[in-house]
Amino acid sequence: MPEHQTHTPQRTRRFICFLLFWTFAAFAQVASAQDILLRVDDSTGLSSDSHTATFDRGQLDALPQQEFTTSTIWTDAERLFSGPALHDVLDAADVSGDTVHLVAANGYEARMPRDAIKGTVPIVATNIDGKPFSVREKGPLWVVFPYDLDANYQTEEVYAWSIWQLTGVRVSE
Amino acid sequence: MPVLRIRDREPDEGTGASSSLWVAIMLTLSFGVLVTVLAGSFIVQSIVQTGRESLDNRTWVFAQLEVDYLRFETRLHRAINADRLTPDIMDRVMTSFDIYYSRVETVDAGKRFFNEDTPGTAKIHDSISRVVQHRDALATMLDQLGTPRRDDLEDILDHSEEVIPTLRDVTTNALKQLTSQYSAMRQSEESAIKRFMALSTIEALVLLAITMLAIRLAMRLRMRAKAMKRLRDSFRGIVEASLDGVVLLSVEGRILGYNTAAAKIFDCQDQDVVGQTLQDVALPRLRQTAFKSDPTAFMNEAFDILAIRRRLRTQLKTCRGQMFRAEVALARHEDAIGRSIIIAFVRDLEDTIAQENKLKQARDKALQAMSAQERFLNLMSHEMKTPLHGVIASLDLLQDYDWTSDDLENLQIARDSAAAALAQVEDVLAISSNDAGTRDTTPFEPFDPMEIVKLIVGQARLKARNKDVTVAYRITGDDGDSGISGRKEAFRRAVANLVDNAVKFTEHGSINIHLVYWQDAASDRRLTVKVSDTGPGIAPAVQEIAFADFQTISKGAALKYVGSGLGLGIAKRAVDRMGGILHLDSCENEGSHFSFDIAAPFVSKPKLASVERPATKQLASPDDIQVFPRALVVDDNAANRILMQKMLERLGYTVQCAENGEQAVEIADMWRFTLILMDIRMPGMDGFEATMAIRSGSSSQDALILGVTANLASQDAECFTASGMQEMLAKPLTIGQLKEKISHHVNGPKQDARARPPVVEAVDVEEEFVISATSGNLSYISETMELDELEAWLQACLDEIRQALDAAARDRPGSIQAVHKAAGTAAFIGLPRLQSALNQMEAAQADADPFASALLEASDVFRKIRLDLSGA
Repeated sequence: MPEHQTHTPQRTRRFICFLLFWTFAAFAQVASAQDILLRVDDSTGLSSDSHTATFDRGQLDALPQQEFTTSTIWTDAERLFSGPALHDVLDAADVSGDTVHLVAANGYEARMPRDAIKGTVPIVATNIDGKPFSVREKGPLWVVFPYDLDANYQTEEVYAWSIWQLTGVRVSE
Repeated sequence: MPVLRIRDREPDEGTGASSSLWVAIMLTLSFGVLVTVLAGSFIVQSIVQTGRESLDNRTWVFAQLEVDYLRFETRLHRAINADRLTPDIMDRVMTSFDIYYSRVETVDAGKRFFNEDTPGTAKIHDSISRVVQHRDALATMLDQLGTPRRDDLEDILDHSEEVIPTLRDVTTNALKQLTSQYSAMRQSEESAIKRFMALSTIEALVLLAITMLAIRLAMRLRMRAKAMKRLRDSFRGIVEASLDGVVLLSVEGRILGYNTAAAKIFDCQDQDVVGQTLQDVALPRLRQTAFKSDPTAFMNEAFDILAIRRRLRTQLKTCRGQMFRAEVALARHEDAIGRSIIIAFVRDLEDTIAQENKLKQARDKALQAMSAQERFLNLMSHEMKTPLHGVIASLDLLQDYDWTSDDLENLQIARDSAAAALAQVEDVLAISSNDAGTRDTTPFEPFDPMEIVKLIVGQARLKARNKDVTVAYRITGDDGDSGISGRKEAFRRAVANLVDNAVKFTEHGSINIHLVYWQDAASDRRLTVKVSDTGPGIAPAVQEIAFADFQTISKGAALKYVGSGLGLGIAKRAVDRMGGILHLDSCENEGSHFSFDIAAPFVSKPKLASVERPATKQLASPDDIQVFPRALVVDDNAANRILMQKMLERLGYTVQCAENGEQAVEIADMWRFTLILMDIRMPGMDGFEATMAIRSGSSSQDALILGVTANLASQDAECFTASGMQEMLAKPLTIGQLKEKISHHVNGPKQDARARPPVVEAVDVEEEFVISATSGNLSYISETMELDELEAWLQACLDEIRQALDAAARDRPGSIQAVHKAAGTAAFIGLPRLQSALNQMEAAQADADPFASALLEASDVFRKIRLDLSGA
């Protein structure tokens, strides 16, 4: 960089970059409001048949919403969980396959049979007590079952499927 | 072949009592199963519950705590070591910290799963709190970072690393606690399963036991059912096989079933009458109304009648309407299911009654025949004995004349023969009448066995006079009172036949009769009569034949012994009639010894020891009131009439005769008789009837009426007692008997104390020298002769003997014949010893020495006799 140049054009260029940077940052901020929360794909082996879908908050909110109040073994009080049914998410993603792999932010993976996902249970919770919840709160997405509603949801298997910090769903044969 | 038809339902065997048992078993089983299911489900539920414990997940959470922290720490290290801290790198750091943050949050929330009572829990809680605090501090630090600089990050790192030991604590302690919880749970699960297993095993065993019991029960039930069936079948078999008709009736008289025999009896083999009432079948019309009005009462009445009589003879009707006589028995019973039923046993009596009638007819015919036989016997006895009776009587009468001793002897022979013939006839008739079964109605009478024996011995001596046989008798134990009460005729017959038999068969030696009076264990007097001979004997093997009628034992081919073969049989029967048993002890060539013993009750001896002689035509008894006693002789036979008339005249009676009963009654009313001799068998009115007529109001109603009959045994005892006769006498009647009977009845049982002038008294000097007026044939001779006549005759006999002895001593020619005759005379008189001696003389005629000694002996004996006689 030439040092003795205190020309006005150099100062202008820095100002513009700084501005652009922060604008992009701002945009990034704005853009991060519609960040992709969930990636759904199936890998049937044939690339022609595979589908990939991504969901941001808006897309997830656009799906039919479910909600229920339940306590869990990871929280210390009953909470209201709401969000789209996992089934609806998979339908929206148009993925086919019998086994559903749920992947979490820390790499934890759980495997579910497709037939266990029906109707409105489980849900991909996007809000707890009506508000979105951060990673620290096990968000932004948590696969939740209404444990209190049915003793069948109180099994190790179901607990294992109850992934928080859900980032991706992969459907396979 | 119809089997027993019963229309009632066969009840199910084996149910009833056992169905409640089945119910109990079922209930128990169900209960057991229910309990098992409940317990099982409980246990299963507890196991399932275990699955909800979420222990695995909690363990994972704690295990992941350190991992998530280390990831964060790694990112932090990388960021620190990066050339430039790009936002991307910071993002990663923040993300990993957020993940760690949420993990700690989860752990903190999981605090509550630790049991606060457990000792390590406080420590864990404490550790977790510190971790949370540390995390929160870190979060603050990180959130406050603007533009992160390397130094800041290093600070954060340093701070972070502080938490590592605490994290360790948390993890290890938590995991330890969790594992122990986990193992406890597993243990409880295990024990739950074990409990379940145990329960199942018990359940299984109980089930097994119940099953076994059930099987056993089923088997037993089956056996019982079989047994019941067997019983029922055998019952049916019995009923079906019964010859009697068996009908099962309801209590109202409805037919429930019947067997083949019943179908036959009621003639309904081709139809089934089950369900019909007695009114339709079996009851005759006149019973039907009674039945119809009230069947149950009818049946009850039948039972009442049968209660008295057990069986009922009644008339019944077959299905075809034929009446028949039947015997019915009823019994109340219960059928297989407990209903009251009536069992009727029916027997068709038509055959039985026909048989009974046939038997009755046969019996009547037999009775007729028997009475015909009896009548024949009576007739024969009368017809056969009457001429003999006449002969004997005539001969008796002839003896009044002045015969030479030879003539007398011939006369004697004639009389003996006639008597023998008569005896034979009597024997035969006795046997026939015994076989005809007529009762022995001879009453017991007092008699002296000794006298009878003497008589018999005398006769025997006569018969044996041509043989070298002596006949002797003796008495022991009588103590002077030898009279007994018993069957005189039977005694006479027994002894006479035995002695006759002995005489017939003994050629040499002696015949001895021994009367032994003795006392038995009960102090009753008994008399044993022994007749022994030295004859050829009867071998034991043939003894039975000897007693059989018409059998004789012959030696070799030559039938030396003449006889009808009846003697021993008659003797035996006579002994039987007296209530004794005739014994025979004999071997071949060792003689025969007959014996029998009878009861010998005491009576006073009738006065026969001395000769009772009517002085002249005097009264029969001095006690007789009438001066001229009047007697009536009733007999349809002229000879008998004359004979009896003569006898009675001899006894001093004025005698009248009647030919038949009616005449007798007439005459008995015209004159007053003291004695009536009434023949029993007469045409028209018989002796009993005549007696009864005379007894009722005739002039002679107080007479001594003696019945006279040829056959004593066949007379009707009842008629006799009803008639009013005092006694019945048997023909032929001797004057001695007549006298005795008359005096007995006139004088009464007690003896006449007045002594009679004895002609010849029985002097028992030594038994061989006994001359008794009743010995031998002297008795009747003495009866028919006058005293001086008797004396003269006796003297003549003795002279004859003396002459014979003289002749023998002088060895005159013809002396042997004389001796022979003398022996006979001696026997006749009753001098056995003399007779024996004379016989010996005769036998030893040729040999000088024996002859001489015999002569000597005979003379000696004779002298002694003379001495006795002259002394008497």
